[in-house]
Amino acid sequence: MTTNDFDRTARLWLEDGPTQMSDRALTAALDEIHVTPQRRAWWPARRLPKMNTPIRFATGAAALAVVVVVALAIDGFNLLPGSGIVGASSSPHLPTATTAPGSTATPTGGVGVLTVGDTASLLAPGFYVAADPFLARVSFTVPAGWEGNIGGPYLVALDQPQGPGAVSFSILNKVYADPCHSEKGFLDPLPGSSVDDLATALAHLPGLTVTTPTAVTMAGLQGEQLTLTAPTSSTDCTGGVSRVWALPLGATNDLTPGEVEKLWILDDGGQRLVIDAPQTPGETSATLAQVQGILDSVGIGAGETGEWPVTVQGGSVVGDTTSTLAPGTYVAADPFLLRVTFTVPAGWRGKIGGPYAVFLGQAAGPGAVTLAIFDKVYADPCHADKGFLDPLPGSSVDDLATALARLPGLTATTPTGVTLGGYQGKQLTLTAAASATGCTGGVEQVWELPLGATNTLTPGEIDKVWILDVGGQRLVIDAPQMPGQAKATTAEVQTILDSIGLAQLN
Amino acid sequence: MDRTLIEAARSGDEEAFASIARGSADRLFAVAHRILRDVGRAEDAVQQTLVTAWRQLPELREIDRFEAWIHRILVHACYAEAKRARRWSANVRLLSVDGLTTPDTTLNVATRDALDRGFRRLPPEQRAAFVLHHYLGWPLGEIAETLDVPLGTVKSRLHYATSSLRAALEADARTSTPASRERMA
Repeated sequence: MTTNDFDRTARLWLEDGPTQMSDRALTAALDEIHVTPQRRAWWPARRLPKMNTPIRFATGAAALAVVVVVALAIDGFNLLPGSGIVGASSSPHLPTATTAPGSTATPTGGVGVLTVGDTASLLAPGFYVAADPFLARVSFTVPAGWEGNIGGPYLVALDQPQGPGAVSFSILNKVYADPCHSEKGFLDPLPGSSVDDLATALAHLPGLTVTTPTAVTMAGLQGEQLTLTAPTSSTDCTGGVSRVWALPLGATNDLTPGEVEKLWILDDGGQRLVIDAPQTPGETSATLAQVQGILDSVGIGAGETGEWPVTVQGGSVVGDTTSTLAPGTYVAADPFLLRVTFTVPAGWRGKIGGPYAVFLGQAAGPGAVTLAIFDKVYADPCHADKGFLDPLPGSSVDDLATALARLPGLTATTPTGVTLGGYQGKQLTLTAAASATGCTGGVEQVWELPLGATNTLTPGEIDKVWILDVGGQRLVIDAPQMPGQAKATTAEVQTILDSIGLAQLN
Repeated sequence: MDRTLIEAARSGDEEAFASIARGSADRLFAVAHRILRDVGRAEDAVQQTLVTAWRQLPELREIDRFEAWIHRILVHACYAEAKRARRWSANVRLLSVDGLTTPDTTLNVATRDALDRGFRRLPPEQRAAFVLHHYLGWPLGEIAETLDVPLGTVKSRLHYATSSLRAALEADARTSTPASRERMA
């Protein structure tokens, strides 16, 4: 089958399928929109005033004491573990991201019977931020033995798979009229959109013992706190539980007999957020302490960009994720492990790809500059299926430069000493073979970042690589050059490279 | 897409957004269905896309990029749907053993089935790249821009997807030939 034959076959196959969404599904979405407030506008791309290098980063130190790993960096909804303290570390080794896939789909401790998005992963102890699709930017620190997942736009659930502890973050407005008899449906009308509306509605629910809502401040946000206690027996209740609320996509919050649920209802800039921590009878003090630790660590609303956590620190703005950057100077920090400044000309886009990558690329051209932190190098770029070098390159600049220079199938220049952004390192150039017909996937894969992104070279592509030691953290900057690339593009790339400033986080 | 509608929706006009949603839903659904190969899950993905788009619309600065922006949301919604392994398992399609008795003017059942099975084995990222390129006809650069991934990543995903599907077709051709001969005999 020729390429043209295959393309035609694929197109015919793709065209053969439904093209109309049901009215029912569309109506449901519009109903949902009707009760969903819009996020306030926030424009992250802002030019910095001209700066001299070395740039002084005197502010935001406390906020930078941790590394954040973003849920959607690579793996969709599942949370990835944070990588610990960075500032004081001089270890060039990468933080390890280890997840235990889908250990359980059933949350414990009364968080609710999840009906969607219920794949939880065991979390390494550390600091996390829940990014899209959850509608509020929530961060927290979990101890060992907790798992968590983002259940969609309306739920982040944390729980102990081996214990009753749980904390969840929800966005809701559907409250059952009678928790003991959920088949009676929801309050009609539903609670209004304010914190007080929801607190009042919950406080008046029949069959539960509810404390009077009191004003509270949590994570810097104003709100109300109340506690719900389920009756000690729910045998007459539907399903044997007290069903308190339902989330927009169907998950419900159920209280088992005698369960106590502490609620914080907060106003996150017009978005109402509910944090709940259920407590079952006989819960140990150790579990309670862990729950309290998580609650104490909660941060809300930092860096609202829609996709990546972007933080404003010291007047500078970190990156821009979704659109073309205005020409100017930018600084990339959290969650990238180093502080990087660069100046882009018109027509470039940029993104912080998590702790290990900053991607810059022309919006309408092949020009690109990537800054990356990694240690996984493929043993044979033409056959990535053979896996990585074993052992992986050591932690030094030389180790990586030597490993890259010896890769089979690529033409590499001899690594030479170089200084870029004020830091010393090695520079080499990798050139892919003119044809990659026999290579896996038709490309040569050179390295892989810790969250799974790979650097691939297409036939004839030239990749200029700088490997730098930035205060003990090894950084790789690469600028690929496609065959026949316009001189203007090459010049723009060089301009960016010349503008790069680097600093450690501290 | 009508700029006036988008501007109005961006300013919080729910009716304007409803008009946009009505005008976009079928197109989004068609793409989602091609990626997910399941009507219910495609509808879920579109529903989530519309809610997320409404929620985040005030942050869309370049109205001209609305189509790319909402497709990006859609693709991420499809990724999320694809991760619901529990529902994958129920997504089984039965096909007639004998296939069509008369020649199909477009694709025969065996080819469709081979593509279907091969496609279901692909990770969602490769599916998305394949659908955006072969169904919507987007150039690779536009896909990279929309999905916010490097061009090389798109190339790689598309190449893997293509290789896998071609292999599925070739394997199917190898296994189906003897059977065809047998029936003919």
